[in-house]
Amino acid sequence: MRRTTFYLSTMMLLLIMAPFIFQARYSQHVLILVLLYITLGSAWNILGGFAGQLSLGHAAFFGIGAYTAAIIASKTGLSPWWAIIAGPVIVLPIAVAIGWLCFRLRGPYFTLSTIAVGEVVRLVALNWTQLTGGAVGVVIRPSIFSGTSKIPYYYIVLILASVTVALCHRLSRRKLGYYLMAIREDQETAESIGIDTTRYKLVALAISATLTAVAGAFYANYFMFVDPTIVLPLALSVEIVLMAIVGGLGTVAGPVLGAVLLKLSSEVFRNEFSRANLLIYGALLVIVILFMPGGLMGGLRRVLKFGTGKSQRVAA
Amino acid sequence: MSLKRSFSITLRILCLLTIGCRMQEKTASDSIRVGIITSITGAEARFGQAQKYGYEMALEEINAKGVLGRSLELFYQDDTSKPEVASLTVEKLADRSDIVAIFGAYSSAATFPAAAVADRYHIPMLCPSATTDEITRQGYKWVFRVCASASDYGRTLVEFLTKVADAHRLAVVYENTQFGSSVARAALEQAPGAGVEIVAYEAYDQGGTDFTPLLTRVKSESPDAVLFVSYLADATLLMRQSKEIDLNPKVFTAGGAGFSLPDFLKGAGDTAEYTVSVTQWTPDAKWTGSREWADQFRARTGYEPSYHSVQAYISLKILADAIERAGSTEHTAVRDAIMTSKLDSIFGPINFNEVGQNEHQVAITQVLNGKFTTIWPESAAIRAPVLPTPRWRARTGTGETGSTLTPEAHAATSVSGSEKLLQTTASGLLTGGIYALIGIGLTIIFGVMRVVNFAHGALVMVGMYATYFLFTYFHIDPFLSLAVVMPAMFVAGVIIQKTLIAPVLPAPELNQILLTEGISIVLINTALLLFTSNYLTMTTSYAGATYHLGGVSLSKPQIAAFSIAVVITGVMYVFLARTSTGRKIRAAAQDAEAARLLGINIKRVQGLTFGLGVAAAGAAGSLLMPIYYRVEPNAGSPFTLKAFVVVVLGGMGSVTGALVGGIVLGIAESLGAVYVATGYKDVIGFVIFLLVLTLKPSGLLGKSKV
Repeated sequence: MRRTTFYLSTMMLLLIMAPFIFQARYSQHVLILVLLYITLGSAWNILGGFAGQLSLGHAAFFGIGAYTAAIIASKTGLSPWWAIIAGPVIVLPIAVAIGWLCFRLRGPYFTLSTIAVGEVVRLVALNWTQLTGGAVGVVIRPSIFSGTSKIPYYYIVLILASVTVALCHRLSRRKLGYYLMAIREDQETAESIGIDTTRYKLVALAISATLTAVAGAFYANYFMFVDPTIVLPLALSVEIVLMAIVGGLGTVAGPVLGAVLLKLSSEVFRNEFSRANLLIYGALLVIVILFMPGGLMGGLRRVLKFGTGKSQRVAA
Repeated sequence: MSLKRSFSITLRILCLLTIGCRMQEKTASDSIRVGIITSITGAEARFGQAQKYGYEMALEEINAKGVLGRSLELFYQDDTSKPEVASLTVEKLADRSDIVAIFGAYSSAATFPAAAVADRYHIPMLCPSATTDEITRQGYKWVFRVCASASDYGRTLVEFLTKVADAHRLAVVYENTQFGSSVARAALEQAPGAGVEIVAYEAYDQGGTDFTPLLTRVKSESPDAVLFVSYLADATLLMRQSKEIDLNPKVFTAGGAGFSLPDFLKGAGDTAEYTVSVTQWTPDAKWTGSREWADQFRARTGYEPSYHSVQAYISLKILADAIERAGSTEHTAVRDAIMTSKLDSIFGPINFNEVGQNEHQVAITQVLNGKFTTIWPESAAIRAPVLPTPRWRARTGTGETGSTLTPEAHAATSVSGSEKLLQTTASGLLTGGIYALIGIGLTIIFGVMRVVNFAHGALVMVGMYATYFLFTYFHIDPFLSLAVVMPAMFVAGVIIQKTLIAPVLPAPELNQILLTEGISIVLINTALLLFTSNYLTMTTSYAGATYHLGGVSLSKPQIAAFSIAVVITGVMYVFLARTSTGRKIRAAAQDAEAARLLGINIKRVQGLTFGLGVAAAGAAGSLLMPIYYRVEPNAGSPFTLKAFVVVVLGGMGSVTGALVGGIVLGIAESLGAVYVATGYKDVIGFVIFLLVLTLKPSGLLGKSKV
């Protein structure tokens, strides 16, 4: 246990010092993106990895959080940070409604329904011009922090990512986490031993959606611009899921690993391979899924001859 | 403790990779460095290429003389046609202390957020081509727009409509993007003051698959002018389908973009004739040097120049001139020098106003005898416009028949309510046939393997390319090419199943979904590398042929495609119901384990089914080509989601269900586009989808619950 604490505190220390080691704004920007995707992947993992409800509609929560921040700033003149409170207030009822609608479906049917919900939210944002500006989008000006330093944003997203990962870790050791995993493994059995599956699935969705919406509000403040192609595309939902799958579904460290690897590699590919960059990204994706069905965590564990893994699952 | 180990591994990887991504600055030569953001990949790559030609031509000229005795060096950054990447590349360029100025991006959507970043970092930025008004409305001090803005488009067009075309009822149809909506809004704002009534104001999702319902809605409003704001793929289809449904305003106008590219003439064929468009520049522009430059461009690239290349060219020239005058490469000095630019160029006089907008004057061209000809303003006109536009049925070839027509022929045609309903339903039905065929492929794959195939749309795209090449190089009719495309796609499907799908069948379903998504990314980007993102267009001898029954127009190729789709469905159904192989497939779909115990070779059945599904997708691709006219790497993508909807409507795994589902979706979308709003067309599809999924998960025809 002491070594875990040692590793964790070293890692935190390094992360806290990172913006001073990497002073180039581009490097800091990449770090911010990695942390943002760690948050998104981990938040998704609560619903998708722990509870086994494979949502491909998380862009909707991200987008609603982002639009809430942008609209608060541009229409009310209030600080867009209010979105951190307002985002969940708006997202929660929507998430519950989506849950009510979609949780009656299982497996691929659930996944397809979340795609439909995500697309409906995107199309509404695109066409409800009075509220969202439609395709023109919403600009947040002036920025929340004066000056051009990225360091304040970095620390905010670092806190967000740390809180999310810590929450996932606690969850994986608590009753709620076990309930969710029981639902994932076998919903009927879970129900027969007295777990109110709908209720716990809704709780998982609520936590997952809230964290995703907060990440969306952060992104809007950081990027200072939202439009439907940036914060609501299906491709974003897919990308969030990729973090968890490539890293290792249902593991705490999986989405962290996945986000680090995928975000950094997509940057490197874009810089190095020009026209072929997405081709290589797609091929990498196919290879990882074919040869590491448990994601990087599963692969690593095999390579390093890990034990059976006490609390974590290799999806295979 | 595995957690501890995994954290320590994460830690090590994190250290390694973040060190790897640090920027390296080259400081060898003393060249003047500028950053250029453009779309090298993604949907707008063709425009990125056009811009690159322009930048390279300017670079050569500038470096022949030198700037302050030094040479210019360009650093290209690919925004992958995405706004968030465009602004990221500005961040990256801003890190380098040696970058003097930034150019780009291509699209309005990408330039808008990128400009905000450049302004924040106080780096001069020249926007060669983004027209959205938002860019110059933000009070930026460091951002300059070289091209004319969307409101210039709107003002010029409205002026043209009232002064020249004598048109007062305008229907606006625009792609729902930053660019499309800004030009449409400019027209909407300018119209009332000029006495022009907006009778329709319709947004559509870029990359539309069928505009018949939208155009039917426009036609029912009897406009005497139509304004299209669209990119190339949609521009081509909009004109061809305007002909098919016999939409006859006095004049078709357009907000540049797709309608002013040389490829539009090729893609839209004879339907391009007489269309009027705003343009930023034409090779016949009266500014000194334009023609010579155009000749030089043709000699160098082998292509007809478009205004996108000129904009890039002139932007770089403006910077070189500014640096020369500033006598320095310091950001503020360069910015101030750009602000006071006074140049006479092939793009006209360069003169930035207080918000950083170059006061560029747009022109209006008309396609006459297959060529863009400047017709307005009078000072720039090469010849007079041909107005009103001849009615479709009065046209023979591309000759100038306009002048012989009487004005009475253009009295607005009214469409009765029942005709409108019939037309809408009929075109929905025909589109539904194609949806059904795509859905069938997906549904049998799901039925047997429980795999939701996200690569389905990409496979439709492969079928489209195959059909295109068979037609273009071997002159095989698209409908006949089915005989080649289907077997070839079948084999490809079996191979994909054996090598890629079979290994993940035991894995969680999300792994399967993401694997097929990976296959889709690979297919689309392979097509991008092989064929570039240029639209390849083909015109069959029967393109645009229509039956006119009363007030209802039906496209002949669409009827043929629909019939063939229904026949293929029928054959599939009989195959599954009557043959022993078909029975094996159905047995495997019902209970794979029991089927295996009965001695059915499940692996063989799975390969066969995937092959059949892919063949159906390929067939849909073939049938789409005579209707869709063009193919590009993303052409199949919209069909993936549509296929999901179709399959759920019909019940997963049911062939007849897919046919019904396809037709229901086709008609629902069509009715929605006409009677609700085009923008919400897809919402209707998804809402029906969700309702069916939650209320009757076994599909419209299904009996049992899933």
